[in-house]
Amino acid sequence: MRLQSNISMAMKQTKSLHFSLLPAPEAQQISIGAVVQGSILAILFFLGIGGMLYWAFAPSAMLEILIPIGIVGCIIFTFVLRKRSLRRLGLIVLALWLVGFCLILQTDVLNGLCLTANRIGEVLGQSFGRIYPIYDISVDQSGYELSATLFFIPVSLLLSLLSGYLAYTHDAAVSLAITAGIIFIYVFLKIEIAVIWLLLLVLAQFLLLAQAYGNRQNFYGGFTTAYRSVAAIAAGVFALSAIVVFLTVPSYENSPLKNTRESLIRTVDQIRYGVEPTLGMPDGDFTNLQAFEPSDETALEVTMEKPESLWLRGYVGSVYNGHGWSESDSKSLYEYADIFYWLHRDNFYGQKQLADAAAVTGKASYDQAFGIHVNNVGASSRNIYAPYELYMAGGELMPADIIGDTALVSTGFRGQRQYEYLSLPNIVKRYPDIMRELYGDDAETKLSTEAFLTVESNYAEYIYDQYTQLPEDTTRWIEQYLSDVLPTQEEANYANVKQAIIQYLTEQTEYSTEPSQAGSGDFAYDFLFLDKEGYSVHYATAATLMFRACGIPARYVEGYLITPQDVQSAADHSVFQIDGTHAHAWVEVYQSGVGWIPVEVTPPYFGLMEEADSLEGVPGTRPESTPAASPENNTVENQEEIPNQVDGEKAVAGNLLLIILIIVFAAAAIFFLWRYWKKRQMQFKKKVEACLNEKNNEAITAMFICAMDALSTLGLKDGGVWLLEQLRRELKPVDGVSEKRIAQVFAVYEEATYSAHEMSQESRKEMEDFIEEVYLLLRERFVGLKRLKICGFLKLAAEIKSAHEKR
Amino acid sequence: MLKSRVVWGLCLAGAFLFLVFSDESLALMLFILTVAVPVIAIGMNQIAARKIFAGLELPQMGEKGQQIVCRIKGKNGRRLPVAPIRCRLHCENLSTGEELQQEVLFPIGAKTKCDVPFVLASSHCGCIRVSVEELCAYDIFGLVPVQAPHGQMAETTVLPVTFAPQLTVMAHLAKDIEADEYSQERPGFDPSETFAIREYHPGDSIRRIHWKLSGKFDELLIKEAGLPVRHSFLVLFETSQPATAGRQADVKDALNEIMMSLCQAMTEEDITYEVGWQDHDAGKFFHTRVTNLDELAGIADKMLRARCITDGADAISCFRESYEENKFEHIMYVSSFLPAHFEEFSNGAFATGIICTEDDSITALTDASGNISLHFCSPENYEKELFALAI
Repeated sequence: MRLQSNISMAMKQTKSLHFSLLPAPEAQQISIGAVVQGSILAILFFLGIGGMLYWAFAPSAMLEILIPIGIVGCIIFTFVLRKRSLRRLGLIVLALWLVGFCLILQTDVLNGLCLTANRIGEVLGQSFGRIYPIYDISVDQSGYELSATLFFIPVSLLLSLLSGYLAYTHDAAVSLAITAGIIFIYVFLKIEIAVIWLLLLVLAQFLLLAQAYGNRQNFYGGFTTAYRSVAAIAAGVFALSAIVVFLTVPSYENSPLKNTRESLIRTVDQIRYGVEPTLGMPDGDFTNLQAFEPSDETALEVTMEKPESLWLRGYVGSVYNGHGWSESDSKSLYEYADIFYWLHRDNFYGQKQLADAAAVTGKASYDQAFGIHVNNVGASSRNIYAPYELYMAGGELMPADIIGDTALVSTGFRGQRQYEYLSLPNIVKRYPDIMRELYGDDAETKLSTEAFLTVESNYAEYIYDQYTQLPEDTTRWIEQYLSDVLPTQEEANYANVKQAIIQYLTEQTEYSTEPSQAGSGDFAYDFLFLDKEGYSVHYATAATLMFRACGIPARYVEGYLITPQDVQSAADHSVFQIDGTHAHAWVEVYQSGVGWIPVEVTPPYFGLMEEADSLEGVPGTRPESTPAASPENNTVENQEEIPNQVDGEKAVAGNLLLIILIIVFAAAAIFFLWRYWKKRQMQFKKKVEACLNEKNNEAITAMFICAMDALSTLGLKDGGVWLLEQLRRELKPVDGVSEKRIAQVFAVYEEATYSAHEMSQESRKEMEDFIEEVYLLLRERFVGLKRLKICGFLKLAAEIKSAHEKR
Repeated sequence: MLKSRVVWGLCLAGAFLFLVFSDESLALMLFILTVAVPVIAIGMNQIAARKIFAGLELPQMGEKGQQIVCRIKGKNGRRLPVAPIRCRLHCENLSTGEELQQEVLFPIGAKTKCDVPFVLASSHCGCIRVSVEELCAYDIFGLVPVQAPHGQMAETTVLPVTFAPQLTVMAHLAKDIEADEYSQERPGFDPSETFAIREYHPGDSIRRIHWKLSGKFDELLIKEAGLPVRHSFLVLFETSQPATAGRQADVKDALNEIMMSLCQAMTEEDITYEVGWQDHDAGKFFHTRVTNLDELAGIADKMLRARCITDGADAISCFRESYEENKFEHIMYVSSFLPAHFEEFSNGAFATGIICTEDDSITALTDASGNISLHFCSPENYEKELFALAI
């Protein structure tokens, strides 16, 4: 780099005027002040990066051990990185120590790795609502702390090396990338932030940016005392400002720019999924809800092997927030990860529960299943539209690792527009029969129904936990205004609640496609008590809340209706053009055993779709019957307990993870070594080209710089620009290089670098002879392994000699 | 500086996005800090930077093609350190017109001075002037500069490398017998001065016989009369160049060295001469007499500062404006081109034109009197071409 800088600086100048900045004496030495300052910066980075990572992914590790190790590591690496001669040795020692440590304590390290992987899986699962592999741990819970700590000791040392590197190089780009990356991970995965670690990381970042000039080529002094005092002032300003800000800025629960965020996400989603308001429903978002003006343009092209009237379920809203519906919080969903693991393992999916119940009771069979192909032309591609009679779908639509089972999963950045699945004929209208069979005493099906109900009871536990919840405000106004209308939880059952809801909605509200909006802040409240008019989204929202208030699990659903009229006299394999007028919103209510059943609550749509027959004989549907089915009431005896501890069957062997990790690290190490080797090769090639340059001036300058570079191994300070007095002073103690010879060679170098005329071949020969002298001197001084230090120069000298002989 | 501003812009954007997408109140605090800390730093810099000063220290002289160690002397009068300070230096060779700009960044502690050494080297002789073109103090994050007083300058003279031409002074016949000097090369007509005593050759005038010496040596001896001569020298240095000239800096450098070498050789030969050139900066013709080496050293610095301009008035025209006609018997004209009125200007004097150029199209004059001699050379070979000069 020095060779390039000298030549490039010369080339930047005019032909005759040359300018070079001399290095500061302090920058050439390793002063205690510089080491202390570098150590402080490295420690701050280590605490920030390490603290954030430990907080998120290693809560069980003992920080009282890891932090001191990291701090000591930062101090050591700060010193080692500054001393060129120690750098390679330091890295080799570290690598050997890491390998030795991992080999000697491999069991604990492996367990720590698995614990960390499990924790990462947990964090990801809480963020994305998915089940990630869990790795087997060979110690019991009391040993977790030690294992995690032992695993993180080498990680701490690697982090301290990274921190030392950042403090040494002041590489703003890398440090900003790391800081931004860590904050992004926290925000994206919705991890609760540890204030102190983040502040330390930000402080370290500020300090680094305040000192980022130190590496510039035309910056004099590097990290001298003056610059250190600047860094101290930066730290002081930051600390004071942080104290003032913390004391004055109030804390809050939601970002003041939450509306901006939601608006941004909405806009992005609209672009991403191609949302067309006149072809579908608002996907649960009632902010700025427009009038219902559906278009007759095609939203879906549905091809059915056998034409059937179906409720095509798309968006499912789980949580009401006053201005719409959203999915359940993935963090709270993760608590049910184990339940869904076992459910999916037993091939139980909420999306096809009705079909499974029908199959188990003999009310339907595989022979009756038919294929449906959907081509989403104009509807939102965020949703997959599938009926309640879904029998079988591909793995990508119903992945086993999803927690929740609200709807099928639309994959891909822009969603999915073409998909197919198998469905049974319309059995929603016959679900009471299925329920009777499930809870009946038919000896033929009892075994299978009992097994089915056993599995289903676990799902029901989750359903009753999640889908009977209401916001506090909503509960308050429902109790205040609807307590006379709705049955109490003790008296409520599906039939009487449904009746009460439909009666109230029919009598108290009016269907309107252009409702006014009172704007009180609660959508359902406005509809029920202020505006008293609305369309399907209003009715479905209100009904869902009222069902939940009575303890009956209910969800808000949007989708499309394929009515009996649509399929009347349609042939097999007909393609149905489902337009915006078929878009609709309804409620789905959970019925024990059979699963989710759609309920029509919008008056103009009553009777449009075929609904269930009489509820006679169905448990929990008679007014005088026991309260709405609850897990306690429907639990089958001898239910198999979900094991608390992971067993070998569920857990993945940690060795596999270790192998993957080793391969990744090895690949990364090979890549970086290859890059380093390639870089050195390129640098060597450039040096050789410069030294063998046809222009004598450039060749002489290059050769002199290379010789000085080689002599730095004997104590010459690495300066980049040399003065004759400095050379005389520093090379004096070195035998074999006389003062007179230095003066001779320096004069040639000076003339070649600073004069306008072309140097003669004799001058070039003189410099080549000097290279040969330095070569012989260093060969004599460095023998055996020490010669590795100067192997680059020896190779270069050999190339120069060989080129000269050829000439 | 641009990079710092871009980095801070990215930090601010990142903090804003963090504020938008995170529900933690820490995000707002960090956003405020990302704005407040640089603002405070900028405010502190506004106060600190007012008492920043940067001077220059250069050695008086330097050698061509060798390092000249110079220093920026910084000073901070406030109790706050300032870093970085950006000092833009402007280096100019006044003689050749070559320029160079270089930025240097350095810190200064509170109430301290600092010393920033740098190396200058020039492959052309001349007066190198280094000035502080701009001095800015930045806040600790390098965002907003504050201008500090600047304009300080210092100079160093890079001495030319002279050679020793062999000079032959041509005798110039004096127009009157009152001349003080007599030719050493040939006899003349002034009987008051004896040129030489020799043997009588048939045909010699009887009146020339030195009867006293003839009686003494018992043979006829002739006394040859002396030839009165006048020597007055003018050395004109051309500081104008045609626009079509090639490597102007190299040519000017060569002219400087030729001029100094010629003057030095003449002074060492105890020749008294007048030297002159057009000073374009002052707008007047500089003209002085040189009798010894001290006087020559005194004008060398002025000569090395003489700026060379393109297509300006030539030295001969400028001389005529100042002194009307040429009264000198020997004229040396050192230039990179040959003006058309050169022969006319010589006015019968011995005129030596030393033309250093790369332009092959310049041809010699047709000189009927035989008093004009032209020497052509290039920046590469002037030492060789001008080894022997007849003036």
